[in-house]
Amino acid sequence: MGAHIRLQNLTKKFGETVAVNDLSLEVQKGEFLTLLGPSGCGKTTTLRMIAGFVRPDKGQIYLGERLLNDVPAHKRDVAMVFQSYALFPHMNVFNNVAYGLKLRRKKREEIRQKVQEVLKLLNMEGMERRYPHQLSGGQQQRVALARALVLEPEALLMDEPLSNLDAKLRINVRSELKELQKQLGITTIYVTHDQEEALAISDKIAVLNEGVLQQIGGPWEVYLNPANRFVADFIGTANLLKAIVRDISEDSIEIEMAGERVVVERKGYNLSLGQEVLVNIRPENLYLFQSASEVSTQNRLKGRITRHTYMGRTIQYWVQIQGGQELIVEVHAPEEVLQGEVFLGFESKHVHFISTGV
Amino acid sequence: MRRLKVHIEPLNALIIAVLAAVLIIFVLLPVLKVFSYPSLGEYAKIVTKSRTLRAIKNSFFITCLSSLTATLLGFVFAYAMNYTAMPGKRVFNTLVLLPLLSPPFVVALAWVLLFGGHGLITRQLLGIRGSIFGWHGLWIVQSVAFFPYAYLIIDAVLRGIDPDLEYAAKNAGAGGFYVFRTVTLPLALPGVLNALVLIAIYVLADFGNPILIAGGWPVLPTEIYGRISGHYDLAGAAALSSILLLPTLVLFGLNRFLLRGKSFITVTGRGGGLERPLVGSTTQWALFGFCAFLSGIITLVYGTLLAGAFVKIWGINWTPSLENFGVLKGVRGDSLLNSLFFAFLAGLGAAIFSVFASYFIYKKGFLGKRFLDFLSLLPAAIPGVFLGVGFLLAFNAPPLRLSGTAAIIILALMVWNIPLGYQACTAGLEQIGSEIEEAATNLGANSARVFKDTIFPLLRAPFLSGFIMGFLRAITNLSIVIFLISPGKSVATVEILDLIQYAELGPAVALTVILFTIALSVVGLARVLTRWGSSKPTHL
Repeated sequence: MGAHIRLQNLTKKFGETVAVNDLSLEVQKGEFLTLLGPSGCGKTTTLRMIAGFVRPDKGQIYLGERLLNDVPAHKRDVAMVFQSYALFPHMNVFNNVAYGLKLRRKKREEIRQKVQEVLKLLNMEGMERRYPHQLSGGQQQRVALARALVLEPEALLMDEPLSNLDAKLRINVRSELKELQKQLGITTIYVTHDQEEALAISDKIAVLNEGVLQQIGGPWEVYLNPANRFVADFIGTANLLKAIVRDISEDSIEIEMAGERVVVERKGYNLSLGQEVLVNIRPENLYLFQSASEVSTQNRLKGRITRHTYMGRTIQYWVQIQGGQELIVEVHAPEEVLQGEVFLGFESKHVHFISTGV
Repeated sequence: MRRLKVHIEPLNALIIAVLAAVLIIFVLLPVLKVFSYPSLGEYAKIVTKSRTLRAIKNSFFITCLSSLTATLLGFVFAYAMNYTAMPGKRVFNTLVLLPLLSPPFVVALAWVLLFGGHGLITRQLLGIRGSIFGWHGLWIVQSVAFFPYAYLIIDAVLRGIDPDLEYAAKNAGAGGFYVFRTVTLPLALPGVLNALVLIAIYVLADFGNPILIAGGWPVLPTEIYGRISGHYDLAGAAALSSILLLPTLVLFGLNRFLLRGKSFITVTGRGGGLERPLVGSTTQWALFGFCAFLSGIITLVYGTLLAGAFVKIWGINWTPSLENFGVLKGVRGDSLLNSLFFAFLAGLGAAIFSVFASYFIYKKGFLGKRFLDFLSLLPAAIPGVFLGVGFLLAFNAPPLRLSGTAAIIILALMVWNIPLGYQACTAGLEQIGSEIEEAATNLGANSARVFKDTIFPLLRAPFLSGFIMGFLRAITNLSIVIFLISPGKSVATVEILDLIQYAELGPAVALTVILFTIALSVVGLARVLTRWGSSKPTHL
């Protein structure tokens, strides 16, 4: 089965700035793909090219077998949920949701029924006569979603739909959104700059930076095996360390970093002796011990705590290791605050090579 | 601990008292004077005159016709500027803004040169004798003269529409015209109606165009002038002025009401920031043709004036010559200096007053604030002719005899420009917010220090724009000053009208060209000095 949405070598320049640079990716039918990156990385431009609001300079956009490039925006059948919701302020909820149905010349009774169904699906029954300014942010967001879903589009495009909601509501709505998408089985492309949101909601994440695709893969993959320094840094917190490969055996690799020998699982890494590499250890995979004898993990580094931040559920420590670099360590359910000289322990499987050559 | 704003500091009280005195003497008093001057009998007499009734009917008719046409032209122009990628946008924009810098009668003057008794088109090209004056001409002239104002207002309205709303409509399957009909137009409508109301106020008060070309077709402003210049009938003029003010106040109230309803446009928060969807290429070229046509007319107006200034005798002797500029020597030349001097002081006075008023009246709460706020805005609703008559009646006898002085002209022009500067400054204060002021107070500054150290420097931009716009409006004003000039205290616009009435078109046009050149250089100079370039003059 071919991909449902296919972007081929998509490129867009605004003046001298390259917003999207030679982007190719595929989305399978029913899949939830997130375009993730910092602001200005080209994710919204990409979404708007798919919707037909921005014309690509180069490349092709396919929806199924259909080439979309020359199809005008209003004939594309990909429904968009806007960051600002873009609800028509002069129409009530019913007319906002019914707008697209009226354009499709549906019968009155059918329109009424469909609008009611979709509002019920989104727990917005009884709101038909309200105007957008009479709704809360969360309700406006639902109407925006209803307006898109009621058309039963080929695909759903969402541009940071949760960014105008407050933090708590955002977390609720995003799990609802994911449920709904799975239930309807609608192919979805979602844009966000919030890495946590991307991890929580996506089947697949495409990380973009300065218009270039950095990595595409499942949430586990991009978090645990970031393809490069940018992805490692952008998703979660990274502790990036330089190291030199000292020994390679069948199932492990020995590297030297911060003056200590460290054993790493071999996995599929293809390295050579003496090679300089960059490794990443996530803060939650580092453990603190007050003496060498307490260390229970396969590897350890010596260090000194320089500062900490208490955050209730966790404590973050900044630990300076040999050579002066500071690593961030996250301790869950803290009962005391540690100080001074410590040992950093970590398991072989938690050390990941980012790139060969530094 | 000292509590804030419980007691009024003495200096504050003094400043507020001065501001209140200015507003009561120079805004309220002239208005009341006009209403109260005629006796009931005189009201009855003037209202029942058939000529008055005709003027009322004509004013109503031409106001509806011209303001609808001007608003429609302005809307299409603004739409073209916002929704197409047509070439020449900058040129179009510059050209249509020229009338805003000109005396109110330039279009009418060009009309006279082209279609008048010796008109280039009527006489030379078509060989028609006699002229085509009357309401048809006035309608065309006012539509051309006032559509740039409509364009400015509606342009701001269209810019305020979130492009994502239009994209959302497209995304739902709507084609270009359907998006326009169901989204763009309904969202723009309150703003467009507001523009219509404002243009109606301008047209209703328009004096320069009808006095030049409406001829025997009376409208209220020209009738009021006729009462005074022809019969020295002050009571009649005052009664007619009162009649003129009533519909203006109704329109003004309507305008406030429409602005209140505007808030719902911005409810959905920030826009996408991307370019808005553009119209198809057929529509684009149709709109281009429309804009080119209107810009062409404006070019024709100014081209005609320039040509008129540099030929010997328009319509008779087309030899190029500088003879017309001989008008600069003598009394009529002096009027130009008066114009400059009066306009400078009036603009400066209005700007200074506005800065103080915005802070001490608008910002500081005290008893009577709403009333003084109302008085500061009231002159915007007063037709120029009414204000001229009001000053004439209020200040021609002790205790405040100003008639025959330069002061009466300067004060009238200043009062007329207060609402503009006041609105710019209050808008500026709203943007600044009260925290800066609170911070200064918190650090130990009293009201005077707060004003001097924080408010005044932050209001520099609205002060300057208020000053420049006030100057431009004052130097190009005709409808107020025509009632207030005296021998030796005349101004250029009045002299130009005088020359036209004596059929000395050449010198009249020459003087107009010079006046316009001065206005243009002032704007140019101001742009250079203040790097004002990015912001368009929106409060005209």
